[in-house]
Amino acid sequence: MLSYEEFERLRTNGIKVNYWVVCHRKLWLFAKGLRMEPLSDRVALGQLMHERAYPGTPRREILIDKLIKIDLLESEGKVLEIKYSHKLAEAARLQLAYYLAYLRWLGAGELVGELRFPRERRREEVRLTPELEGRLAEALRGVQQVEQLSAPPSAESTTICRVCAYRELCWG
Amino acid sequence: MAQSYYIFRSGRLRRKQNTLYFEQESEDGQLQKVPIPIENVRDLYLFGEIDLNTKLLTFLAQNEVTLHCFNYYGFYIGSFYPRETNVSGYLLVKQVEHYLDPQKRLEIAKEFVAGALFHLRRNLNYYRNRGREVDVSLEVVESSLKRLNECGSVAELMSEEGRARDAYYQAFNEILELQQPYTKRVRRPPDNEVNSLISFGNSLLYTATLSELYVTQLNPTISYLHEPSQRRFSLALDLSEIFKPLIVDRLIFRLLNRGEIDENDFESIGEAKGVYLKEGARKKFVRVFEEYLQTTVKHRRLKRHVSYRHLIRLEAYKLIKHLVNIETYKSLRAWW
Repeated sequence: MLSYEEFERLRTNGIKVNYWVVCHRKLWLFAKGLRMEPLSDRVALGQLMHERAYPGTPRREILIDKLIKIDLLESEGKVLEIKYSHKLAEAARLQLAYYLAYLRWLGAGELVGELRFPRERRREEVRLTPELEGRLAEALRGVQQVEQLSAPPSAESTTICRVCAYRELCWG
Repeated sequence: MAQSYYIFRSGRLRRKQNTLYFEQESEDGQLQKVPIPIENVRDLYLFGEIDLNTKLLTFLAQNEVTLHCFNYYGFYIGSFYPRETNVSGYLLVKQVEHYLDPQKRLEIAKEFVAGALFHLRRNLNYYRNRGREVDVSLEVVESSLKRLNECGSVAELMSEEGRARDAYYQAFNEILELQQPYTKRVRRPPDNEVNSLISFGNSLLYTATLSELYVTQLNPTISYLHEPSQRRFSLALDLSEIFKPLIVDRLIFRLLNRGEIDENDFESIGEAKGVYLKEGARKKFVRVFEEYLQTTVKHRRLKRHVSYRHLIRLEAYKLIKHLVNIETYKSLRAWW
């Protein structure tokens, strides 16, 4: 588990934690402001889905410290993270774990998170176990390491490159 | 998919709720309204006399639409380039760094020229294979290409390019069936039909490049071959050098040689010798230009078809990759 001092030092966007799991190069580019998401149809689709999912459920989006944007399920006090596909579930899990830890550092106590994959009618509860916190700490340290690199990590072609918003930058 | 809208008529562009409307009074005094779905608009080209207000500009800026204006004669006036939303301070610093270091600047500028000359040569070769006497021009372009690596400054590079281009323009007399020989490139205003077409085509390409640059994080005012000036988005000039022979020149050859545009399509401006395209021909040019930009080639690395327009975007990405030290920039050399 991270100390509060270390959290202060490593504080970052939730999406960077996510990207650290998915692709270090993407994380580096994103951190330097070289964002490709605004041009991606797939990202737009994901956003649309996020907005439209669960129309009957009272939800609230909250931006905290201009860093993390959490989606709250108001009636149950759960922190939601809605994703398009479970393909990158581990990245989503750590992103959500980061939100839970962040809220705890702010004094919100032990909250429960839930990953939602509305297209697949699938959900997964996320609680901050010592093991998950360990992985989160590793991710947060990793994010900072990648951000400090003077050149981007080299690209490795994987199956996720095919749908990545950064594809044309890396491979074009 | 976002597309370009070209408006030749006169009228008013307005925002009405969250849609764009083009309004025009018809002959019987009725107001005609044509809705333009804003989500579909990448950029707007205004050729007619159009009224608009800041409310419209706000709306265009919100939707990140660039606006390109042309005057009565079809000459490019300027663009409304909305505030950038997708910026990277890091990349800006890198862009400046590569400009300030003469060696780094030269390296990029050289690639722009190399790409441009490669495509000049490609055009000449195309016509040589069809029996046109372009050998003299071809030789000049070839030797310029060989000398590029010896150029020690951007100025030398420019003069090498100028030499090649002069020779290339001489070959127009062989490529095109002209009544009067084409002597040299004259701008502002162009002094004959060919120059007029080149000017018009280049300004369309320039604006298309600018629109593509807009969606990247590159700052269009910092350039490497052309001197960054206050008046122009000179990085768009840099990048369009590569594409001029590939897109504009080939279109001109095609239009003139097939007789789709001929001397009747031009008019003088008052007393001046300047020659400009009549509206009908302008429309025709814009239509084929737009079609041309949408034609696709199979991209070898992406393994899918990409349009000529998209090749411009990819060129911008390659430049970004060079600037952030991912991959050395190699300008496009048409492989098809």
